[in-house]
Amino acid sequence: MGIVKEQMLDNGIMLTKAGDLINWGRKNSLWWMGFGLACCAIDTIMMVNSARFDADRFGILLRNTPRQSDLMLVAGTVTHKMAPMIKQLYEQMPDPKYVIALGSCAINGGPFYYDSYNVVKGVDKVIPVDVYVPGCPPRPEAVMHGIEKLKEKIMARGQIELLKSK
Amino acid sequence: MSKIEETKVSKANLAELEKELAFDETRESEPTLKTEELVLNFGPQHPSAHGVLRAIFNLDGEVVTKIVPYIGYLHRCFEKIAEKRTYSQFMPFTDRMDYVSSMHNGWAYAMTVEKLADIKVPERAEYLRVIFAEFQRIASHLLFLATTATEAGALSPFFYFFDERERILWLFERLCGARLTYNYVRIGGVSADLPDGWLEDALAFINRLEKTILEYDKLLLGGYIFKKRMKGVAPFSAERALDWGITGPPLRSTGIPYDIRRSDPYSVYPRMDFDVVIKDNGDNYDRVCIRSDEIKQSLKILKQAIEQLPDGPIIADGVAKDIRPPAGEAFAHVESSRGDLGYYIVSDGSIKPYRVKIQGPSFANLQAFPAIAEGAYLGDVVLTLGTLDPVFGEVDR
Amino acid sequence: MSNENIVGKNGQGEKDPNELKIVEEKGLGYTLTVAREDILKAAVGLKEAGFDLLTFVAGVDMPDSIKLTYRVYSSKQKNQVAVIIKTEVPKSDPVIDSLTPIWSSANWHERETYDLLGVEFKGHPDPRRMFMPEDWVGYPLRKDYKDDRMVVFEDYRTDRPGDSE
Ligand code: SF4
Repeated sequence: MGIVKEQMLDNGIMLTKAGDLINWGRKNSLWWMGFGLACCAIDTIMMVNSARFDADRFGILLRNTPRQSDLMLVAGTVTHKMAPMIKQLYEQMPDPKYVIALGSCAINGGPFYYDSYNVVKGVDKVIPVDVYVPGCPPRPEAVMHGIEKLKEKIMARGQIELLKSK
Repeated sequence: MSKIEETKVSKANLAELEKELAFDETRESEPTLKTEELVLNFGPQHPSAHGVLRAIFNLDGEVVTKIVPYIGYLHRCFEKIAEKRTYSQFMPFTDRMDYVSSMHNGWAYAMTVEKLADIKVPERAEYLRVIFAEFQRIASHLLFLATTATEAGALSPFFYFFDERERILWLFERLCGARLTYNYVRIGGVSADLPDGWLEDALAFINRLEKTILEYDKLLLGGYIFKKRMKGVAPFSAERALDWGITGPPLRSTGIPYDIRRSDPYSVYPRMDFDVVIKDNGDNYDRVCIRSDEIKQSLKILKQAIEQLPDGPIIADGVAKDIRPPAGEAFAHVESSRGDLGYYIVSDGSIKPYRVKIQGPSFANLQAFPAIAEGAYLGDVVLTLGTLDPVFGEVDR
Repeated sequence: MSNENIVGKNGQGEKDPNELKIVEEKGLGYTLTVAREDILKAAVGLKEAGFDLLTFVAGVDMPDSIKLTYRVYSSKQKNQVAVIIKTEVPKSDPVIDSLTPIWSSANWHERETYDLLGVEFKGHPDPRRMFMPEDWVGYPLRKDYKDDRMVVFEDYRTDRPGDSE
């Protein structure tokens, strides 16, 4: 499991840190809310849901409301008109919450960086982002990889994160 | 004991009670019974809004009486960007417009520029474009059927349709390396020739889908519950459809055979033998069924196109990287998966277009959404929106 | 098809033959150029002649005027033709009659043109902005539009004045 510090096989006891155990639980039940905004939503959010890529097997379940989810997948172009809504939905999510920015548009405006009067240059101008997945659109495998990276990040936070959220 | 006996309802009482509780139509329809109007906000982030539509619904009980849509949440300024890019630099952007049928967008744009600059496209390229446009139409309609089924509450068709769609994406991927934004059509031709063994795989897929689509029809469209849910809901007459400017499958489902492949033929479509599918009720069920029937017609076209595919070059000779069309205007359109998709380009003789106007079918179809869905039940309104199949990259542009 | 029988049917063509003359233009097909005062008249004539589907309204920002282009299609004519109507409004006074009473679909197309180019449509039932927020300043598709948040693409291959400012 990666969190075991010491194992006493004889009597079936494992020793670990409480923070690690909690983080281990967290990383294995990421319930996500898809924020499908544009093209990326079709190839990432819909595909990881479908039979071929099947994110459910990693404990990643789709919830349609921010109040039940702890991971937000922002897939697509953020516009000035949409930005306040993203912030509002992010604030509705319970702590601890994570954000993955999918696609170049969510990272920095992508193809619409130049000459576009209505595109926000990256979702990180609006909400904090944990993992960036590049691509236009990213392949579904890349999304999976991004989620794995997020899991690593969750584990690395350790005890400090636990105390802070108190 | 006695108390229980008291509460026991005698037979006579029961009859009275039944009479009292009986459904009385005259009483139900009394106009004095008024419910308070409820205003409901829908979107812009909604799992079944097909993107970023925001709408305000006014509800009278369960019936939606008024819909005011708000769009522009995905306005990415394509038309402004086009003015600052050369003709070929704008090509990749077209894929990102109607991202569910990217091939058609690229094709329509390339066709307009070719018209403007008088470029003749080689025959093989025309055939390749037809093949990929039809594959794209199938992929797009499969996505439509999957999402509509999900919205109606049927979850398993989603997996079947996505499985088939994935197979088309493999074919595309082998050809141009991309799954969604292909950038395959180029001004004057196409970017790559077919890899080895591609045609056999494509034919195998066509033969497979020809059989499975009939099964899917039974699974989804033939289902009793699905029929009950969709038939007769939100009907639209041909006159109103034309008045509201609907094109594509929703217009054809009202009985108007407006299909650009036939009414303003382009490319090699005149050589193909296929029918323009029309239905006559224009209700939700027809709008779904017509997509499934169009898939069958597309398969028919694909078979003919693969059979007739000639040899030869795939891109016109001597097309410069920075083409400089003479000053003038051009309009060209194709039948995309959603309807009449056109580009209107004004050139001033320089290497960049002076103005590019995109005529998006989703924009026109979505405009009619209030007219179609007003008067339906709340549960059916989202379904009705789904049957119009708007893609917001194209609505907002 | 001959050009006359589209307009000739309703008698408009006979009254003023110079005004409603449909010509075939390269790249566009049948085109009808009218003055801005006549747009409603031309539209009514076309609608009566069976042109029942309006597919787009486009505005083009010229140096001192805004060119408007409408495309209408007839599903009734046997040969199923489309006609492009062209007109022009001066920039100093960009007002034109709305075609919403004739084709309901003109509604959003005209709102879009108002939003992006600042053409006002007289008699429009719902003259709001379409894409941009209500409090947006300026009309983005005009050539002289300036915005601090917009990063302009520097292109050395420019051959049009004002492209790389
Ligand atoms: S990154 Fe590319 S595919 Fe994704 S939303 Fe932006 S333009 Fe579309």
